[in-house]
Amino acid sequence: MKRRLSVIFYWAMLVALLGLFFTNDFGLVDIHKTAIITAVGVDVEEGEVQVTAEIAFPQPSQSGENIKYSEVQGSGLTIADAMSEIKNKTGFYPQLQFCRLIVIGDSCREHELFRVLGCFYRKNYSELTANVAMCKGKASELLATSSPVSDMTSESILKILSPEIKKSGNVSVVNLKEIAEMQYSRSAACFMPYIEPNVPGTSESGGNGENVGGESGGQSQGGQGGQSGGQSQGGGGEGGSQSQGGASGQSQQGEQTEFTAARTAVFADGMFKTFLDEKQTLALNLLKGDLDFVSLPFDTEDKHYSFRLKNTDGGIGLKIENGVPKVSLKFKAKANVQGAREIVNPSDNIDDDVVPEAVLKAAEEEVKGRFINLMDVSRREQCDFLGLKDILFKFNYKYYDAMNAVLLDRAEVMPEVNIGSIN
Amino acid sequence: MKISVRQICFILIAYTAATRLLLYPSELVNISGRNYIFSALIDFIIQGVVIWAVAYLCSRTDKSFYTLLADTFGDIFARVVYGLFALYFMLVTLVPVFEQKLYVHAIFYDTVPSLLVFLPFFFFAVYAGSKGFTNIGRSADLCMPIFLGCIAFIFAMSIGEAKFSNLLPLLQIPAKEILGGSIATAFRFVEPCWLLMFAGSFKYKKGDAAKITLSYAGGALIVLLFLAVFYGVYGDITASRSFAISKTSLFFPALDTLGRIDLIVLYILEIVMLFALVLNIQLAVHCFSQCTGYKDKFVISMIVNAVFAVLLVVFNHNYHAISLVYSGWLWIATVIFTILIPLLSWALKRREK
Repeated sequence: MKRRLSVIFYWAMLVALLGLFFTNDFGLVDIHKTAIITAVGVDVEEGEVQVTAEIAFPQPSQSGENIKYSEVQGSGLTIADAMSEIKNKTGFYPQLQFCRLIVIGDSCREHELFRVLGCFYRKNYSELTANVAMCKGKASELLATSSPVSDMTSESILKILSPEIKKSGNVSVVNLKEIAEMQYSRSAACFMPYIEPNVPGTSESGGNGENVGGESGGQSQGGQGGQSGGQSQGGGGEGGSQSQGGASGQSQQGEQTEFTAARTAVFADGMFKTFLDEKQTLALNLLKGDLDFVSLPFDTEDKHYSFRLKNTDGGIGLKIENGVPKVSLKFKAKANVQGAREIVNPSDNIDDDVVPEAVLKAAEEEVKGRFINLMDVSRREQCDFLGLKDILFKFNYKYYDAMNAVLLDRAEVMPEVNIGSIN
Repeated sequence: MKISVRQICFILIAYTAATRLLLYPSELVNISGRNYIFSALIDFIIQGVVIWAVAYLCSRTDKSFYTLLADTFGDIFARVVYGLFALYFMLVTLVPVFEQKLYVHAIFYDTVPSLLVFLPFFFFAVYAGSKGFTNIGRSADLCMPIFLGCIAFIFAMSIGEAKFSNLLPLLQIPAKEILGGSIATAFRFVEPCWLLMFAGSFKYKKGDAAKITLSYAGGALIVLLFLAVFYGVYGDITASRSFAISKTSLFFPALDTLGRIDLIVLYILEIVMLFALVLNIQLAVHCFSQCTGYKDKFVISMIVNAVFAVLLVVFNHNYHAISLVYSGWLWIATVIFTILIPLLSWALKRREK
């Protein structure tokens, strides 16, 4: 009897399981109904959040191109409201697992960053792996531009935020998790790359990513006028600042656009503070990251050099001595000559890996100067993007209450830079 | 003998860790902040001492816990105590069942799935629940290598992204908060009761108490290391990250190009989690069977699982409320069933070996 009951039970179980599978269409997904959000642009207009989702629609195809991309917009008081509108327009539940880029427009500068991005940090809303960047002009317009690099605009933007670029130190690549970690640390400051569109075939003046001619936005205007003329097309390096909503080279559909992210937008307590220029961005990344293939241009008394730095190691130390906070900004690397403003003599190239001491010293001085400049920006803007208060809290806890408020002003900066020859 | 010491050791390593990888870390960090490891450590040390005491008791007697009770206080008393243990096992299993449902829904499905997709779990639970200690031991033999492989893989993918300095400064929050975390999550600590139920079902050899206690320490160490890695990865936003095991490896660089290969490991690890979850159901069925004297465990298992299924349907959207009640009050049951009763069992009439 028991045996019979057990057989009946397992048959019932089998039927029930099959029933469950049938309700799910065997888990098959109709390709016509599939859509994936690959990037999100966020702008704020008249107190409303405007979300532009770049959506990939896989198409059934025998061969060749089989994905279509389009931008769908929604708006509301929060990102969730805007996403809900996108859901209503597209007919699918917007999930962000495949969203690899979140771009926030210039208009978000006026608002608290984590109020704008708040939804992404809600439980299970997103995985926090998406890269975050601020862009010149409107994020919606940026995502609508076409690029010679890829059909998918976000893909071409992500190329300038790639792990390789991150390793070069030229761009301060961060994701949702990293900016939140910085913001919710004791330093309450964060940074992200600033994406600027360029017309293909033009470049910034100065070469080597060094915008020599342009005004450095990071140094001057606090809240607003950080836009530099350095990105002006044709290499003029004019210093005029642009108006807020302006998105040069990106507004016209069909016109091809390239992107750069050499500058860094920094925030304190969630509010935009300033931009770090290319030099400051590199200095910040030398301190923060484990880098490779860094290009460091600098001048000696008679020549311009460009080093390639390898085996880099950076860090920030903080000691309190006699009531004075001493900040050591440490960096060491191995270098060889990658370029010099001189006529190349191939027979001398063998010495590229053996760099004269005087040239190494000049490189060290260049890095030290950049570190001091970076600390000056942090002090002037009262924006602890170097994370000093967090270091104070973690490693010098007994001084935290006494020093926290005055740390940036009182800090004595001691750059410790050691650049050696590869051979 | 129904179960071996090796299998008990495997249970204490694998199941101890597997039952604390989902919501336990975020719930604990919510109360104790960056020092949540110390809250966990307090619970593990207390339970570890009790486990050693129970294991040592097993070296002094061949009797099962039921026989010890019956020999000392009579059969009726033993039945009552086993009835209470059965209810306790059911009580402490409710939150983990909800947790599993939420985890399966959130991680393994793209869109919002219906409750139905989790209900087949109960077919497995009914079947497993009707099985005895031999089955529990064999399952542990199967689960141990799976667990070690999976957790090693998850650690390998996560540890590079963890900044352990996020845990600093150590012990700089009020002791009240650390103890608060220990008390609020105490209901998740059931292991001494497992061992108490296994008493008399395994052959004790010299040194086994140390092996059993060290195995528990091993499981605890895995949990503590996992908590450190989890906080190392997320820093001060850890509290907002639920289902920890699925979140720690997300920043492994290769996932960018390969996709979420960690999900394969999580699917496999789910097997161990389910066996760990069902162990409490198996023990609840065992206790009910001893209490009532009714030997058909299949029927008891059906009834027990039906209760869980009904509770799951009725309180489908009330996990938060249930969890609040559990963290606020269930530590009392934990103190009684996992600390006091196992320690008091030393006072029971045992035949010296």
